[in-house]
Amino acid sequence: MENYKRKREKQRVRVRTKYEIIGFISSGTYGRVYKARPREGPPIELAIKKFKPEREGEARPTSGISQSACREIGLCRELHHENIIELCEVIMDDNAIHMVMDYAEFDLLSIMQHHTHHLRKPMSELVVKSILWQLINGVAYLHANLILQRDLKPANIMITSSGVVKVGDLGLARVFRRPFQTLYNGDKVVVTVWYRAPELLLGSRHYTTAVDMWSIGCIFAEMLALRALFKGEEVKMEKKQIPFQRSQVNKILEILGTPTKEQWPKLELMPDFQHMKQFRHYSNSLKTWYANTGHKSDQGFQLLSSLLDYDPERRISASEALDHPYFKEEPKPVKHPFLEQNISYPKRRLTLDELCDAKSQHTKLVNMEPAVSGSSTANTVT
Amino acid sequence: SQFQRFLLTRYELAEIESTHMIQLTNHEITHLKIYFADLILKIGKRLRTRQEIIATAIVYFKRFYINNTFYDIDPYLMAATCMYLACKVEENPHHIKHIWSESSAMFTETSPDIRFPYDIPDIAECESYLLEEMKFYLVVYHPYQVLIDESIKLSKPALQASWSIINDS
Repeated sequence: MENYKRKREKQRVRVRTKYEIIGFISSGTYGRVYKARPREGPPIELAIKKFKPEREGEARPTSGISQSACREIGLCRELHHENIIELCEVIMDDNAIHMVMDYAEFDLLSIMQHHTHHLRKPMSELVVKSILWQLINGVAYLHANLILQRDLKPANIMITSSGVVKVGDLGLARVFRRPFQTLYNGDKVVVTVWYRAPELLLGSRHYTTAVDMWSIGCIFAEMLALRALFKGEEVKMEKKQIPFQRSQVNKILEILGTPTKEQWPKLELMPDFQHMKQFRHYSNSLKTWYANTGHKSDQGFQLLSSLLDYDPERRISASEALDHPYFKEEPKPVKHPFLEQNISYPKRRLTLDELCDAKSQHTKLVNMEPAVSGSSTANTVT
Repeated sequence: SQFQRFLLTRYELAEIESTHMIQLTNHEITHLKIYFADLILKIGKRLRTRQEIIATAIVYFKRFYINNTFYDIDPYLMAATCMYLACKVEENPHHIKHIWSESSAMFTETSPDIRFPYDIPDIAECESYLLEEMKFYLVVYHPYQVLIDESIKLSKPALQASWSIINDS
């Protein structure tokens, strides 16, 4: 095995030999994301996601790669679609997995925040519609390949500087055909609470692509109003018991009204149905809500309410949604909305703090490989 | 990715294997492959995993030894690692400890006087080599579902024969 290790070590390409790290983008429980540029070839921008080595400080690994890294890499490797983040390659370096991916200048969350805090005006209908259509297009591709995204939210929707949507973060995504274990057993809680579909909130053990469509409905509404549609307060998990998300359910009822048996025939079969009795009766006020956003398209309202259908079986599917009349009426969705409308948003901020951190790791590398890393230090500083 | 990257013709494979033959004969390589495929199957049975996961593990094992010889990494360790990774990819994860204990039990069964010479970190480390060697292409397609869908049309012996062929892949 020692021989093999040496052979492997020789073949290894170091991330920093091949790519130049321009800056640090963000970090999360999984690790860190950097912006980078290849040292050779066309000058394109890339994002490098570096997974944390499982426990820092430990000399030897104890459990191998995490389930979420495994999913994300396994799935992204097979997926190629213009509205899905493309995985270019995976590199093992410094005991950590580095995913080299498409770089997107913005994400939907940052764009919406820019509209709220700086521009103080809503997103134009053309932009909303174009983003929505591309988002559905990407998700339709996932669903056609029997994959559930399970964590659609504005922060996970990347947008390039010309306005092309790239659905990202497939860490929770999984194939749903013939599961060896029920979806519920695999991951008890899925989807960020504001974007979680009612069947999930009511403890459904089985769920379908409709959960992603609900999230899309919430995101559509959020683009129209520039604030989350159902902004419930999450009840934290206690003693490994999955709590009932009372506040979130209440927010949904306030706008969509109390669901009737006609609207959702299988409602009473939901595991957490008994919780429904504690709420007072509401009637549906989505129409008023929609009118208040200032949007006039009736087809837009039709699409929104089909996405937010209580009954997961009746909720509109991604492929149906792509053909919705809303996308056929003016203004029609375009591929590069920002380019056509000449809109520019402030670029992603790259923090320097973390860059210093990257540099300190870098110096470590310099000691090991002075010839390769020397030139890049100068570049990173500038 | 399976189609684009891992389908080799008989001749390509023979060529690669001829480079390995400095140390082992053609026959020995074939025998070792059959032996370890069977070993993975036995580990899988101990873990009570499904046939498809076992099949994935065997495919990983074979992919690894396309470009590496049995001298590079001990195939016993690799067999355990393939099983561990396959369970994760097929969404039926087992704790690494569990994989380790079943694999070492299996090992003792086949050679009672030697202890399984690896520990848990070895499996985790070996996994990273396996991943790299496969260039992180993890999804394996098995035609089991096609067979199940077609099974109504087939006669019993034909069904049995096709099932064995798939198991053999």
